Amino acid sequence: MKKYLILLIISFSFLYSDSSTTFIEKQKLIIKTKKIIEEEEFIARAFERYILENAKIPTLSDLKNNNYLSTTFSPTYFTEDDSKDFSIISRKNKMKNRLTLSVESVRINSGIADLYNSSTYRNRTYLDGTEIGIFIRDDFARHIYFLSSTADIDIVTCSDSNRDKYCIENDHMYIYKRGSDKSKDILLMYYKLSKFRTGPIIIVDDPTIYDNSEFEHIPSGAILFDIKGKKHIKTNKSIVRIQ
Amino acid sequence: MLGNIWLSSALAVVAIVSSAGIFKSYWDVQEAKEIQENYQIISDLKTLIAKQYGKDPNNVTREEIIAQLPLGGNWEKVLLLDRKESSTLENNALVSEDGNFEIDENEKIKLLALRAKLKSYSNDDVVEKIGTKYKFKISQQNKNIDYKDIIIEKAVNKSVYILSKLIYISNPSDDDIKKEITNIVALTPYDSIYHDMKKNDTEILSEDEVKKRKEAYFKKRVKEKLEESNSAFESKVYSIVKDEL
Repeated sequence: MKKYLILLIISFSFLYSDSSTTFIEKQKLIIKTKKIIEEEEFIARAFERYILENAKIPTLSDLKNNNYLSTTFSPTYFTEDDSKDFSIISRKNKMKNRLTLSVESVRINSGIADLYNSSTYRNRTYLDGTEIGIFIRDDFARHIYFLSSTADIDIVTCSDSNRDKYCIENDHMYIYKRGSDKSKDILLMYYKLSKFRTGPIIIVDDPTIYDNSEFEHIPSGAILFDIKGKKHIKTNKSIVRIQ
Repeated sequence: MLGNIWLSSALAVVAIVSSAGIFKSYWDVQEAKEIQENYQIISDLKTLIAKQYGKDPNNVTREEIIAQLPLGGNWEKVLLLDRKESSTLENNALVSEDGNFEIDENEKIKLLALRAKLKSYSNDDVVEKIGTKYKFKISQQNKNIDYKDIIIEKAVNKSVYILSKLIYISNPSDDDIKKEITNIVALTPYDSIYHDMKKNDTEILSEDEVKKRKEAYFKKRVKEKLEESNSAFESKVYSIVKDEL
């Protein structure tokens, strides 16, 4: 109590005078840096939630609505003169680095650069090369990200003529191994989106293709049935038939 | 008459000298108090940042301290050697960019005041002399190591995320794997790994050897985290990197 009282008294002595203009400008820039990082953390949380709810990797425009960042969301920049083309990189869990978009005087400010690049205020984001990476934590969100980013596609409905080897229909995900044309595609698995973590997941009845990378991302412990009704379980290492 | 003038003059001189002496003493006491107050404020702020963000207080920078100060007022003065109007961070900084105190050996009163303050913490490791400057590490008095475990855990989690980039590469090469492992070794929180790394009490280790063993310890923690994970993704990452970690 005594300690807080002393700190309070000291606080008042500082409040009734002024810092140098240079310091105030420096402090404003530091606080803006912190705000930009907090904004990136906010985007990272919305990014993962969007994938979970829409099975699609979002763009910044996708997130600008009242379910995610709000319609009024406008990115903060270090200065008025910064390049204003901040965005999420297409089909990647990365966004542009606003420090590299800034004017030279800010970019070469080592204190600001160290603060922006450090992990002090970062929990869901990190400096990834020259861009800002987003950590995706949820297994299903990672799975959707894997399918969409490695195939470089947006996952569309199966009835869409542009559908690729992954598509969605009636709340189910269908994963194909692509043949020479669509009629020769092999259906590897399908599952209800909400049941990805536990199963049941219906899989092809050909164990020789269970080492396909799409199978590796099924969570351990999920129950699988092949199309002939035989029961399997996903372990950390493989798919094991249990019935 | 002449005697009276002489006596008056002598008294006036004594009064002026005494006043100057008293004023100087008062000023010295004020400076000593201010530097001790500054130490306390910076130390408390570093502890707050350490708790709030899981960061080693020794690695809290001046920018992070400034970010924590309220806007407006005269908070710049807690970072300065004195509270004169003309003093600024550019010409009279007390807190260096790495967040520690730096005081020239000529500032005897301030050095004495800080030493007196630090005496209560009985810690000789906090002062280092570089050239004519004394460097005071702040927050060393915090003996609680809980926050260090949090820092290690945070670095391990980040490493797992970074390694998981490998699953998006079809058939990652040895070079791809080594590159990511180099990236995670760079995240080793050396200051927060508080174990002495000795295999027995008598072993004497060089700084380089301690560093290498801390890196090996950190890689082992990452490997364990991946191995114990229930996540299919992390199991996959484990199968890719287990021989290199």
